[in-house]
Order: sequence, then structure tokens, then C-alpha cells
Amino acid sequence: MVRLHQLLSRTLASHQILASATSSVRSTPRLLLPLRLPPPAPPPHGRTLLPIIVAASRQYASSTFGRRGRSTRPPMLLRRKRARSPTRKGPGELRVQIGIEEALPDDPGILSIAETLRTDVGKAVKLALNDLEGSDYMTRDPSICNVDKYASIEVSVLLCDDDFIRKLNKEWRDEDHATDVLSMSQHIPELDIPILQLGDIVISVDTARRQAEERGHTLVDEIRILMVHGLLHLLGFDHEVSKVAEEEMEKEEEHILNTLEWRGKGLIKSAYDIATVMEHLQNSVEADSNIEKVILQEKHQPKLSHIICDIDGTIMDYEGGLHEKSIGSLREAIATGVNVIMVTGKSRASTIRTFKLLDFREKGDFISETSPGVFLQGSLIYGRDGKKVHRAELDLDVCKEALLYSLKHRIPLVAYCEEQCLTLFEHPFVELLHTVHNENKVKVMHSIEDLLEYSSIQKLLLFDSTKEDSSVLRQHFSELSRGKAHVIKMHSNTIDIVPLNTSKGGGLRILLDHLGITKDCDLDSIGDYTRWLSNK
Amino acid sequence: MTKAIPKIGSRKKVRIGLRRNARFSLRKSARRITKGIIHVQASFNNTIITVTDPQGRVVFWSSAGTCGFKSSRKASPYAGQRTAVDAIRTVGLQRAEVMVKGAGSGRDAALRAIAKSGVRLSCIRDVTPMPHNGCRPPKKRRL
Repeated sequence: MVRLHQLLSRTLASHQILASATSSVRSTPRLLLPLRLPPPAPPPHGRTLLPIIVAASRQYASSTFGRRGRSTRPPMLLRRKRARSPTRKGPGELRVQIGIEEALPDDPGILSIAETLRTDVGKAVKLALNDLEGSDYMTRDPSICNVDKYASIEVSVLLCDDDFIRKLNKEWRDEDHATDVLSMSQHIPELDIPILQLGDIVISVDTARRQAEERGHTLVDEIRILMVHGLLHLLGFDHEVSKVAEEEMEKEEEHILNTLEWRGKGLIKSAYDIATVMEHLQNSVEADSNIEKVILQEKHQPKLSHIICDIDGTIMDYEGGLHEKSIGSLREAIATGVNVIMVTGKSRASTIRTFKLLDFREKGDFISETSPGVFLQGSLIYGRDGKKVHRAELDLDVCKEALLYSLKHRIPLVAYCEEQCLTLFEHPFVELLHTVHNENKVKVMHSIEDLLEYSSIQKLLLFDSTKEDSSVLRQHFSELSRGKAHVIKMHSNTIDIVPLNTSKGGGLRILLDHLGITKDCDLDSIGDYTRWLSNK
Repeated sequence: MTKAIPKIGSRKKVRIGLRRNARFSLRKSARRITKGIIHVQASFNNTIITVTDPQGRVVFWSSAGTCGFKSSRKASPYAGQRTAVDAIRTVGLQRAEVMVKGAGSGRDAALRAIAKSGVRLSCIRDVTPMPHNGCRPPKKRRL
């Protein structure tokens, strides 16, 4: 029975398989299935059916998806290719227009440079615009982007002479001097026209030629550097707004110049190198005494013609010693042909003798009887060729009072009459002026009248022989000379009395006026001179 | 005061009789409006005139293109003038504001042409930004 049952179940199973195989084709066998199915058979057979159906449906689904994928891929590729083709063409036509200003001579060299510049500017513009895509520069014009939408991009370069660029500089920037490059942007972001007009790059060939000589490369190299600098300005870079902006612009300058293998370094880096050199010239005021030269002065690379140098406490300490670093700076300056103007509270004879001890003669004639300078705290000023241009005189009453006080309290006093020092009695402090500070030998006058009749007095120097500070002495003479003279405390135990309205700063301004240097000139001041020159 | 006229570098394609045959690129589909804004972009080598409606949509633009070689240096102001005249005639402006950008040679000529064209000008505004200079070494300050 068991065998029969098994045989029957097997037969039914085989029939079931056959029926299921054909069920997809015919509907009639399906009607027979429930009649022949025994009760224990349905579960396993049902399970068997489900996987098959699921598998079949999966096959259909996968085949459908596969076909869909295959059918859609070609259009996608085509679309991508089509989409890419416009970008491969790159931006629209790039128009580089080179103009030569009318006043420039018809020099074949300049024409040749203009011709070279047509291709050079094109290369630089393409490289710069390519760099803008995908870059994260913070300081640039964000409106200049997606340049593909423009049919043409225009850059205008104008080569001119110093006169033309000076007029532009004066008219548009209010600075009356020639410069090397000016960038004038003309881009209007809100206009929807197919031309992207970046603007003008104006380059002075005269200035470029001078700078090329100074930097040791050709005029073409210099003009390329200036052009790259101006181009980055047109794209919105600005090295003057912040440190980050300066670094970004410098980096981009170097990148363009290096990629195109052009000589020279970017303008910003050149300026830094110049600044490094300038650091050696401490405590100095640079100026250009020639008015004609001022017009041609290169702003980014000042050419020093004069250095005005304070001595007291700067070159020389108050014990007569000399500062090595300052001396080194002066040597470097003199070696490059810079004229040094001394500003000091001492006399000229003292200053000349002091620096002769350093054997400066070999290096150059920087301080002598023919040098301009400010002496005796501004009471005595020598201008061109060492001629006297200003001499202040102390009030006679102040001198008389001071001399009486000196005699009464035995306080040593020295009166400066231009180059000669006068006193009323011998004293070790007075002797120090000659032995340590190199002043002329101090003359001893026999009476107050004799001293006052010698000559006009520019400065009084009083020593406090006690070890106390000279506050009492200073207060006394401040009250004495109120409204008539000026008291300066130079050391802890000395005071200077100078005429009213006399000071180093005031003397310096008188000297600068005499030399023809005005505030409009290219005048840079460092340290105390900023305060002095701003006092008016 | 007339500004200096720039010379133009030589080009590969030399045009003969540029003054007579000068053609300026014109857009054909120009709307006619009575009130608008005229933008003048004046570089030293080109002048672009753009006319927009008061809302800022471009109605018409014209460019003088490159003026040619040295012997045509005087054409630059003329090109600016011609460009401006074409713009005004094509659009038929009666009232306008003028916005000028740039210091180029065609600037004054374009402005004069606009002033003489009969268009009533409510204002002429110079929106030229401050030019940028080369680099100046930083100063060391001692405190």
C-alpha cells in the first residue's frame, strides 16, 4: 500500500510538472489540476511553482531592463558628446587690440614690440581666463565668469610715453607723475551683449625701458610683466586691498609668467625685493630734489637721491659711541651714490670731525663743509653747497639770565655761536665737549658782556653738575624762557635752550623747501620723520 | 581738451579705404523704444554703444571694432561718433540717460554725437572706476 501510494504520488508529481510546464500555453490542463491533487500534495507543489514563476518574471524583467539600458545608452553618449563639443571650442573670438599713442616716435622697435604683443596678450588672456575656472580666488571680479557665453572677448592695450600716462594718472587717479602701467576696466556686468570688453591696459614705454635696464632684462620682457599685472587687475585682482589679495595676485602673476616661460618676476614680487633693500636704510627720509626727475619718478621703485639722517641717539649714542648697524646702513647708502643729510643738535664742525674718525672719505663725500644739513637743533641750516640758509638767534634777555644763573650757581654753561663754543669758566663737563663730542675747543670769555658781544647765540647748553636729575634746572629755565625760547631735555643731566619755533622737524622743512622738495614730491618718511613732516 | 589719438598696430589683413567702407556690426532685430539708457564703453582702441530699456534689457548694441592701422588713427573718435549715431537712429530714442565707462579716444566724440542727436538727456553719468597702478613697495613703520 505504501508502495502504491508512493508510486501514485510520483506519477501525480510527474503529471503535475508536465501540467505546469504546459499551463502557460493551454488553459485546459489547469482545470484538471485541482481534481487530481491529493490533500497532502498541495504545499510542496505550490512551493515548486512559485520559484519558477518568480524566476520567469525576473528573467522577463531583467531582459526588459537590459534592453532598455542598451537602447538608452547610445542616445546618452550622443547627448554627452554633443554637449561637450561646444565647450571644446572654448570661449569666443579673442580680440587683442594694440594701440600706439600718437606722440610715440615711429620706432621700428616699438612696432615690433606691438606685433609681438598681439600674440603674447592673447596667450596671457587665455591662460588667465582658464585659471579663473575652478579656482577659489577670493578677490577677483565674480561677474567675469562663464566666458563661453560671449561671442568675443576684447582687451585693449595702449603703448604710450611718460607724458600721456602722467596725464591719465593725474586726471583719473589724482597723482601727478608718470607710472608704469594703468588698468582701466570697462566691463559692465549687467549688460547682456555678446562682447566682453575687459578694458584698457596702458603701458608707458619710457618707464618700461628704464625699469628693464634696472632689472637687467629686455624691454619686451618688462612690457610682458606689466601687461600681466594690468590684465589681472582687469579681472578683478587687487594687491592693495588685503594681504590675502596680494598673495593671490602674486601667485597668479608667477603662474602666468612661468607657464608662458617669460623672463622676470611679477611686479608684486619685484616690489618686495625692493622693500627688502630699503629695510637697510633705517631712520631715513628719501626724497628727490630734482623737480624734473620727480615727474619721471617710478613709484614702485623709488630711486633714492637723498637720505636725511638723525644722529643723536641713532647713529651716535650720547656717550659719543657709534652704532655699528646704522654705520653699515650708511655705508651701503653712500656706496650707491646717495647723498646723506645730517640732522643733529651738535655743530657742523663736531659732526664733520666725528665722521672723519670713521675714515668715511674713501667711501664718498657725505658730510663736509659743502654738505647740506640741519645743526644745533634746527637753529643753523646749511643748504646746497653748504651755504647757510637759516640762522636763528636766541633772545638776549634769555641769554643774560642764563649766564647770570650760571655764574651764581657755578653751573657750567656753553653757548654755541655757529661753529664756536663759548663758556664763562673752565669745567670738566665743558672739556668733554671737545675731548669726547669733537666740538671745537671751548673758549673761556671773561665776562657776560664779552660773551654776548662775540656773536649771536644759536643754542645754550647747561650741565647740572650734581647727580640729581635736571628737573629743577629745566623747570627754572622753562619759566625763565617762557614765550622767548624753547627748552629741550637731551640727557639726564643736560638741557638745551634754543630759539622759539626752532626744532629739528622745522629745520628739516626749511631745508627741504630750500632744496626744492615739496610734499607733492615722492617723499617717504620712516619713523620720527612721519611725525615731524606732518607737523605744520 | 582733446585726448591724444592712439596709433593702431599693423594687422595681418590690411583694409583699403577704411573710412569709406567702414562697417559696424549691427543687430538686425532691434526694438524701437522712446526711453532708455545708453551705455558707452570707451577703450583706447574701440568704442561700444549699448542701448537698453529702463529695465536694463538690451535693445541694441554697436561696436566700432578695430579702427585699422596708423594712417587711420583719426578714425577712432569718428568711429565712436558713428557708432553712437547708428545706435540712436536705429532705436529711435527720444529720452535717455547716458552711462560712460572708460577714458578712450572715442569717448568724447560719442558723447558729443549723443548730445547733438536731439535725444533729451536726463543725465550723463561717468561710472569709470579708479584705474589700478603698478605695485609700490610697502613701507616699514617703526612704532
